[in-house]
Amino acid sequence: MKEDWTKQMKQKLEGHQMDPPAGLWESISNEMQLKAQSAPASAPAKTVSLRRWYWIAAAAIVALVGFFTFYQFDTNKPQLVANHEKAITTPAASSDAQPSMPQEAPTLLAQVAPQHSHTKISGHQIPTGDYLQAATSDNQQEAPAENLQEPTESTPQDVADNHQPAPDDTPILVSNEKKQTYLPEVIDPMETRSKSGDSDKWTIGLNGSNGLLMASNNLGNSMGNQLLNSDAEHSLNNDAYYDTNGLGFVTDHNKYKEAYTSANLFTLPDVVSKHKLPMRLGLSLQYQLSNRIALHSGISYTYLESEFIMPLTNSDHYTQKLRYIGIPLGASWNLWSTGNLHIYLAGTALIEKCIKAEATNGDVDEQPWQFSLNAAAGAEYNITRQFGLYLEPALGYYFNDGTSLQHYYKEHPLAPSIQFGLRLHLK
Amino acid sequence: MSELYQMYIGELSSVCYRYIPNADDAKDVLQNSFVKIFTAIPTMEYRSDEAFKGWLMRVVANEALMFLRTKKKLLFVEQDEIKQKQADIADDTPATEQISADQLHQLISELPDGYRTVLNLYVFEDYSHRQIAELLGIKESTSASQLHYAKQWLARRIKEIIIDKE
Repeated sequence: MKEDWTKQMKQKLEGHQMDPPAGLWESISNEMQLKAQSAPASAPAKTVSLRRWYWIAAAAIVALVGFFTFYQFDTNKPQLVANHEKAITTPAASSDAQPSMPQEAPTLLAQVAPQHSHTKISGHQIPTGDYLQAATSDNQQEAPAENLQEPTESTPQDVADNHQPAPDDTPILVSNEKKQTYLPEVIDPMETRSKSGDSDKWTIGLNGSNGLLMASNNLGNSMGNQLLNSDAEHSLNNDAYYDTNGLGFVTDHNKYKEAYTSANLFTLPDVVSKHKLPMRLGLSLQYQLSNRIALHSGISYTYLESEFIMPLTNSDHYTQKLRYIGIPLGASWNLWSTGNLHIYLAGTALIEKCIKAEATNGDVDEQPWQFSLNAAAGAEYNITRQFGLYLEPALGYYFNDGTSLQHYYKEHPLAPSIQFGLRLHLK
Repeated sequence: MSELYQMYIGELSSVCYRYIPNADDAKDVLQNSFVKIFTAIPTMEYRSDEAFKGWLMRVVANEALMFLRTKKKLLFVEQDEIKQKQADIADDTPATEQISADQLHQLISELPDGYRTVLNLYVFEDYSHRQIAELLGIKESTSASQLHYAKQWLARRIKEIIIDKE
C-alpha cells in the first residue's frame, strides 16, 4: 500500500516541468564562453619531480659508493687494530692474549719481511698499514701462501682449530691467528660474518621503495564510500573511465543495457579513483644487537598520488597528492649468510604523518596519521666489506587512518612493496 | 547547445527545485550542471533519447546532492514519540490523484531539508536506505525514519489540500 503511493508520487512528477531560474541561460553561456576563451589546459606537466627523485637517489648512491670505496683506504688500518683486539676477546682465547698483543706488535713488525708482494688479497684493497702486512706475512708461516689468495671457503677447518689456541702457547701465534681470522678471504664465511657482526655495530642505509600491487580502478562515491561494488567490478577496466562509448561510461554495453533506463543510471558510481603506486624514500640506522638480530629505525618520506574522476560527466577529474614523513622501528633477523650474501627477515612498524595534502580541485583538510606494520624478507650483498646493496620485498598492513580521505592504502590495506637500498656498515 | 537547453530545461528545473527549493541555489546548481553537460557532450556517443535524458537528470540530481552535502548542513530531525504515535494512527494512503503535479512538487519543496533529501533519493532516485545512509553519512535507521516522517507529512498535507478543495 505504502509502496504504491510513493510510486504514484514518482509517476505524478514524471515529465513535470518548471520555469528555470531567471538569468540561468545567460549565466551558462557566459561561463561556457569563458571556458572556451581561456587557453585549453595543456597536457598536465608530467611530474618531472618524481623522475628527478630517482636520479637524485641514484646519484646519491653512486656518490656514496664511490666515496666510501676510496675512504676505505684510510680506515682499514685503524679498523684492523680495533678488530684485532676485539677478535681476541671474543673466542675462547685467554685474556692474557690481549695484554700481550701490544707487546707483540712491535715484535711482529720487526719480523716483517717485505713479502707483501705475495699477499695480494683478492677484492680487498691492500692498506699501507704495517699491521696487515705483518699479519699476512706472518700468516705465511701458518699456512701456505696460497690460502690467502683463495676464496674464503678454503680452510675453514684450519681456522676453526686456530680459534682454540692453548693460552699458554706463544701469544704471537694467538695474535697471528686472530689477525688471520680477520681477513675475509681466508676465513670461513660464517666466522667472518660473526666477526664483522661484532665489530660493525652500526649501519646506516639509504633506501627507496615502491608499491607492487596495481591499484585497480576503484569506484566509490565522493563521500569515500563504495555504493556498488559488484557493478564496479564488472564495469570498469583500466581504460574504462576514459571510455566514452555510451552515456553510461561502461565498456560492456550488453551487460549494461538496463543501465540506460533512468532508474538504473542512478546506480552508477559517482567517482572513479585511480591510485598510483606509493613511493617511499628513507634513511635508516641499524644497530646490531647480536649475531643475528639487529634493530633498526630511521626516517622515511612517502608520496601518494591519486586521480579521481566523475564518470557521469567525465569532466571532473582531479589529482590528489599526499606526502608523509614517518619513523620506522623494527628488527631484523639474519637467516643465513654465505660469502657476501646475507638473507634475513625483518619486521617493522611505521608511523607516519601526512605533512602535505593537496588536490587540484581544492583543499584537502585532512592530514592524517598513518600506522602500518610490515614484514619483509631481504637479501643483502656486500659489494665491499662495508657496503651492501639489498633488495627487500615486503608485505605491509596499513591501518585505516580514520578519515574519509581516499588513497592507495585505503584501497589496499594489505600492500606488497619492494625496497632496495644501500647499507654502510660502520663500527 | 541552446536547443538542448530549451528541450530539457523544464524537466531539469523540476528535478533541481525538488532538491533545492531556493531559486538562487538552484540556479547555481543548474548552471554547474549544464556547464558540465556541455563540456562532456562532445566526447560522448549518442545512444537513445531516453538514455540521454536519464543521464541529464542524473547529472542534475548528482550536482544537487553534492551541493546539499557540502554547502548545506542537512538536519535530520527526529520526531518525538508522542507525535509519532499520533501520526501513525492517522496513517493512510493519500489520494494523490486528487492533487496536481505542481501541488505535489510544491509540497515536497516545503518539506524540511532532511526529510526532503531522503525522500528524493528513495522515491525518485531509487536508492536503498543503506545507500542513502552511506551517501549522507547517516544511519540506515535514520534514513528509514526520515522517509517515514516525510511520507506522513506529505500525506497529511495532501489530505488538507483535498479537504480544502471540498
